[in-house]
Parts: sequence; C-alpha cells; structure tokens
Amino acid sequence: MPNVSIDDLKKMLVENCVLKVKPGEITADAPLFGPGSVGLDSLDALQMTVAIQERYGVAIGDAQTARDALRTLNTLREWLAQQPEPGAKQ
Amino acid sequence: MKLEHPVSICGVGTVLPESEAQRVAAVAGREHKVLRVDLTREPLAARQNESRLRRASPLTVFMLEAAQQALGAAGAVDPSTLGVVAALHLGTIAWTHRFYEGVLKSGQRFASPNLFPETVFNSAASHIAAVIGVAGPCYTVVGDDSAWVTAIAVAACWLANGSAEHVLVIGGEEFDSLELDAYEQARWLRHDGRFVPSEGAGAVLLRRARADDAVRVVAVAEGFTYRNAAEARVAAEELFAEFPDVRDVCRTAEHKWLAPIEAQIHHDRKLVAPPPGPYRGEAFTASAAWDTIHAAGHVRETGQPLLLPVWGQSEQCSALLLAGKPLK
Amino acid sequence: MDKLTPTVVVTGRGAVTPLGSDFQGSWRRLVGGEDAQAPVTIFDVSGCRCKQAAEARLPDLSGVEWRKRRRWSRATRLIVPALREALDGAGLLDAHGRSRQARLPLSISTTGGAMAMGEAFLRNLLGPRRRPERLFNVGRYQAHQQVLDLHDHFGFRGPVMIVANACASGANAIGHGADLIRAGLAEIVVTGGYEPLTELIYVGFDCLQAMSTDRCRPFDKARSGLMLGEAAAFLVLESDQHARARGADILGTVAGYGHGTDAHHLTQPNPRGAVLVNVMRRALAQANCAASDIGYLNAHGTATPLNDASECAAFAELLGEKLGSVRISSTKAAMGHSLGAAGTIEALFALEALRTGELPPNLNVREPEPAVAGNLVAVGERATAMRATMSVNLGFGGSNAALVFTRYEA
Repeated sequence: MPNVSIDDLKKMLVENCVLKVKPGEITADAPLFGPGSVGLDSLDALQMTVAIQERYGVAIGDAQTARDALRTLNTLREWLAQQPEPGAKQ
Repeated sequence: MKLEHPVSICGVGTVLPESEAQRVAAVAGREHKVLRVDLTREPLAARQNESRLRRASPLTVFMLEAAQQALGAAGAVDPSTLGVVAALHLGTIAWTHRFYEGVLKSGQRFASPNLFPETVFNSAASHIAAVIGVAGPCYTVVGDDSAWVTAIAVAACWLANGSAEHVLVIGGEEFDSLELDAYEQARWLRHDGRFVPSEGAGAVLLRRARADDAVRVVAVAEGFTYRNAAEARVAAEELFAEFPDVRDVCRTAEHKWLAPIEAQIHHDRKLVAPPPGPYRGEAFTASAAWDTIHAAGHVRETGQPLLLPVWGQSEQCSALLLAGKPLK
Repeated sequence: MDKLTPTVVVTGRGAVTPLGSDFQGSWRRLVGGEDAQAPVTIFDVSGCRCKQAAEARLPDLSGVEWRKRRRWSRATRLIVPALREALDGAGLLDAHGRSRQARLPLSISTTGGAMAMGEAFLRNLLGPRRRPERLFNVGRYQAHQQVLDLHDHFGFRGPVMIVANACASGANAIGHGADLIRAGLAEIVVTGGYEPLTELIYVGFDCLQAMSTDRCRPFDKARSGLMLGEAAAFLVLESDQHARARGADILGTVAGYGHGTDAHHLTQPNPRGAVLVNVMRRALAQANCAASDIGYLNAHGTATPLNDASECAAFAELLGEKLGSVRISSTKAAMGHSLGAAGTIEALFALEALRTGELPPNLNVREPEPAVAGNLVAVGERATAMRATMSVNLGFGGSNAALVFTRYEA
C-alpha cells in the first residue's frame, strides 16, 4: 500500500485522538507515545488500530506490531506501505 | 427530614447556556428550540485544554468549570478532605449516541475505544477528581432532576460522618439531538417554547454549617415518586405535608408537565413565591442546581427560610429547605 | 465505633445470577466449581472479537400480570425475583408478596440501567422503517424507571439513591446504606445492584480488548481479560436494634466500609494499588479489625493484566508477611463481571463464606501470579472460625471500595 498520504494520517490522528492541534502542526517524525511525545496513551493506540483497519482494511495484529508501527506517523506510513492492498475503504 | 447537622453553601458555580435559543433537528423528528452552551467562549474554551479532558464529552467540561468556580469562591479548600457528588440525568448522552451510532453504521468491529470509556456515567466525576486532586469520596448519582437533592443528601451524610470536610455537589446535563426524539415521544415538546431542552452545569460547595453562615440547608425531603399525573398529585401533597408551616416556596415547574400540580399546591396552601430567575431551559440536575443557587441568593438577602421543591420530570419530587442568617 | 453507633446487620438477601435463579442455587454451583461461560445469545456478537459471556436464565415471572410484565426491561426481570427473595427472607413481604412497610429507603447501583431499550430506540430511529409504537418505551432505559418498576410491584416508596460508579457501584450502594444506618438517618435500607448484559456495553469492552477470547483466569500469569456477566442482587440492611425488635434473622454484620478514588487513569488502576490499600485500611479500621483477621478476601479479580497486578500489589502492601494467612478468590471466573451488580453479589459471597466456612474457588488458574500463588482458593476448600471476610471492587473512573463482614454478636 505505497500511496498513503502523510496528510491523511495527520488528519486521522487528530480526529481519532481528539488532539487540540491542527493536522498541519504535527510533524511526521514526532514520537506519538512516551516522554516528549504527542501524548497518546494505550486507548489511543487501540483507537488508531481500529481507524487504520476501517480506513485501509489492514489489521495491526498484535501489541508489539502496534508499538513499532505507531512510533511516529512516518513509521506508520512505512508499515502501511509494506502491507498488501486489500479492498480498502476510501 | 431535618438535618441533624445542617450544611452551608460556601461557594457556587454555574455554566449557563446562551440566552438565545437555536433550532435543532431531532434525529428522525422535527426541529425544536434548544438552549446551548457556547464552548468556544472563555473560560470553557480553556478548560477543554486540560489534558485529562482531551477525549471527554462536553458534560465534563461544563461540570469541571462549575466546580472550579465554586471552589474559587470558597477560598482555600484542602483537596485531601474534599468529596464530590455528581448528579446526572442523561449523563454523557452525546458520546453514548456517537458510540452506538458508530457501531450501527460501521459495525461492531469498528467501535471506538476512545469513546466508550467516556460514556460511563462516572467519567465526568472521575476527570474532575483527577484535575482538582480530590482524595475524598466520590459518587455519581443518577435519576431525574431530583437526583440533585439526593446528591445534597449524600453530601450531608458525608459531612456528618466525617468522610469529608467539604463536598462539591455538581449537577450537569449535555444536549444531544437524540433527546428531542425522546421528548417528542413523551409529549413534552407539544407546546413549543414552554419546555425548552437545555444544557450546562451548576455546583455548590458544602461544608458543615456554622451558626452565623448566610445560607444553610436545614432539611431535605426525598422519595415522593410517581409515574403519572395522578400519582404526582398525591406525591406532591405528601411532600408539602412535610413542611406545613413554610409559606415561602419557590416556583420551579412552570415549564414542565407538572406546572398545573404546582399551581394547585401554591393556590391551595396560599404560598408566596419569590421572583424566579431568568428561564434557562430544562437541564434537569443542572437546572435544579441553578434554582438552588438562585434560592440561596434570595435567602442571603432576606434572611428568611425558603423551600425549594425540585419537580423531577420522570421520577419524583423532592425539596431542600434553606435557612439564612436573620438580618439585623 | 462508639457504643451509640448502631451496628449494621444483614437480615435478607437475594440474587439472580448466571449460576442460579436465587442466591442459594447460585452459591451451591459457585462453591461446586461450576462456571457459566457460554456463547452470547441475547444479542448479535458476530462483529466482536469475543463471543462468550455469562448470561443469566431469567426466572419464571408468569405469576406477574402480563400487562405489567410486558413493559418490563430485562433489568427489571432480573431485579424483581432477586429483590423478592431478599425482602421475603427479611420478613418484609405480606402473603400477597407486597411490602409490609409503605416506605423503605433504597440504595441501588447500576452501570447501564436498561440500556437495551435505549439501543432499540436508536436502532428504530436510524432504521429504514420507524415503528412509532416502539418509540415511547425509550424512557424506560433510565435507571430510575427500574426503581419505579420495583416500587410499583412491591408496593413501597421512599428515598432512592442510584449510584453509578462503574464496577465499584455495588459496594458503594451497600456502603451508603450502612452509612445511613450508622448516622441514625435510617433504621432499615434495602441495598442492591443490577446489570443486564447489553450490546452497547459488550461491544464497548470488546473494542477495548478487555475481554478474553479464551477463559477468564483471575490471577493467572497468562490471564488475558475479563468475561462479562449479568446479575441482580440485594441485601436488606438494618440497625441491630431494629432487627432484634422485629425478630428478624440476622445473617451477619456490615462491619466496615471504605471508599475512595484513584485518579491514575480513566480505565487503568494505579499499578501499586495505593488507593485500594487505603480503602481497605479504612474499612478495617471501621470494623475494628486487623488485616490479619480477614480469613477470606473476595477480590475484584477481573483477570485483566493491569487490574490483577494492581490488586496483588495492594494485598501485599496491606498484609505484608500476613498475606499467607488469607484465602483469596475472584468469583468472576465463575459468573462473569456484572459491573453494577458485581460489588453486590460479591459482598453476598463474602458474607456467605463467613457464615458457612465454604469458600468460593478461583477458577481457571494454570500458573498463578507468584504474589498470591499460595492464597488462591481451590474447589472444595473450607475455612474454620474466620473472624471476618472482605470484598473489594475497583472500577472505571477509579472508584475503589472495600467492605468488611463479621459475625453478629448481640
């Protein structure tokens, strides 16, 4: 799935995690979890997992994969790029 | 019941809707007038930036703001001996509606993990306790408008048994269009403009009363339940029989289906009602809080006892008896 | 507690659970090591990760006039038989099943009320063909409507407190009833909790991945989540003077209650269980008991990784080297987590353990957490001469509560 737009991911992040910033204010390599991060928690991780499944039709199978894929928006885009293209919803 | 240990109102806070009504469409029904809170106004806009409130519904924002106002008015209050009782009617109805509609439209597998925990009744009280640093007891009580009176009774019990030195009692309601469909079915919206759904919050900070406090709650009457007008008439008579010598009584049911019952009671018993405050719509426990705060203001001015009935629209009528400091 | 403070005693109890349609039936199957896990049948779960829960079989209500019965939610159908058992056991019903007392205070708990009616309302509104005759029931989803149902059925009125503190609510409702009696504000209080299974709540826990797709294994190292259940349970509480004056049977004493709020996170407990430790200490202090007096502890034990770890930390902190002397179990493996009713039914289990010496087992453990490996109750275990038992509950929003039960001594 090579053509996932980073802007789409920013918008998805802001909407799903109810962030009080505009999508454009998020940098693609900002850590999403942990110290100095955007400030997400485990509920947000679950939420993003559900949103990704709904939007792109791919499942993040386990907690470790989620932690790795969701480190930053860049890592998420890279992970999605490696997934085969199912019948994704637009 | 007379409180063996009366409680004083030592701080109040309100979040009121805008005075101009909006027309809002029900989910599948008609449009109706509704009074809404403007969340873009300060200080509510700033409250939403609390990190703990990031995913919370508007109800929590309203209630936290009202609580902070009440605390601010009281001066220094030790959060380690502070309790909270939240009184709710529909609770986080907006988020509950969103969550379940999402399930119906997108499927169970795409249900929102961020929304679900915020739909639980006690999420608002939990966030408020976390932000303020409350270490005392914390309950969320639910019911109709009269849950407000139940909450005051719970607070009075904690203050009497030493579970807390201060108790924040907060009533709150958030609006959602789904309510309009329900109120249409209940026929509460037949006379457009009389019953106006609303939202917001009200809070009182209570502590054990001292002799020279300006406004004390000296009695609480609860448990006069009903399911229809005939039962409500009987319940109202029983409630007022608890206060045979009280003549100064607020009128608060004018816009509810209980209005004729209240009017009859006032007429038969020759009761005297102080001027009401401006109509802020029906926000159930929040409205009961606003009525209490208005009544407390009247008692502070006159020094005279005043009965505040709370006419619950689907469960029971209750009342608070407020007493003041006699004026010199 | 001074001499003038009334002693709070239990004079009646009743329950409908996934294990039985009354308290004794539920208790017998519980101590016998049975569990009620089965596929969900009440609503469709085809889109969920999990498919299992502990459903109750609704008791026969054919004795109730059908016009009344047909308006009753599943919630009310659980409440009525459970409350009838409690009031009857307390000698508070006449020959027609109506309350002998016109006014009875009620302290009751729930999380979702009769949520299924609200779900049906929204489904109807959003569906292709609205059915107006189905819409007017929507108000009945609210918790106070179930209270009005039971008022109507049993013929009493009175002050009502409905507490919705998530999973600790049941304990809060009992504790509040006890507070009222100790303060002299009531001589008798009917306390209870109820929770029917509903799709909205089931899907909610499912999307949080809080439920196990395997079995509920409280305090097991490989535990993977909870199992939802449903129940209704009631305790009649009175001051001992009031109970003795009317010749009521006294089942035991609600000797201590502690409650507080854990602000760590909306859905996750403080890892050290610090608030739970304080809450347990307060309950013990009110009961005039030492931690080592507790013979059996009914844990909250949802079998989520975080909950059980937090409780293990709290138990170790409270009991220290005396931890070895306490028998511990979570009954949620057997009958599921019934949310607003959990604290109520588990309080009844802690009380019955004290009365009979029979202990409810902690099922499904293959490799226990080391912290409590020596404590978990096995099927068929008995205890002798326990001075006190305790039940603890923790919930979403950080509500923590503990109850201590002792025998009644006149």
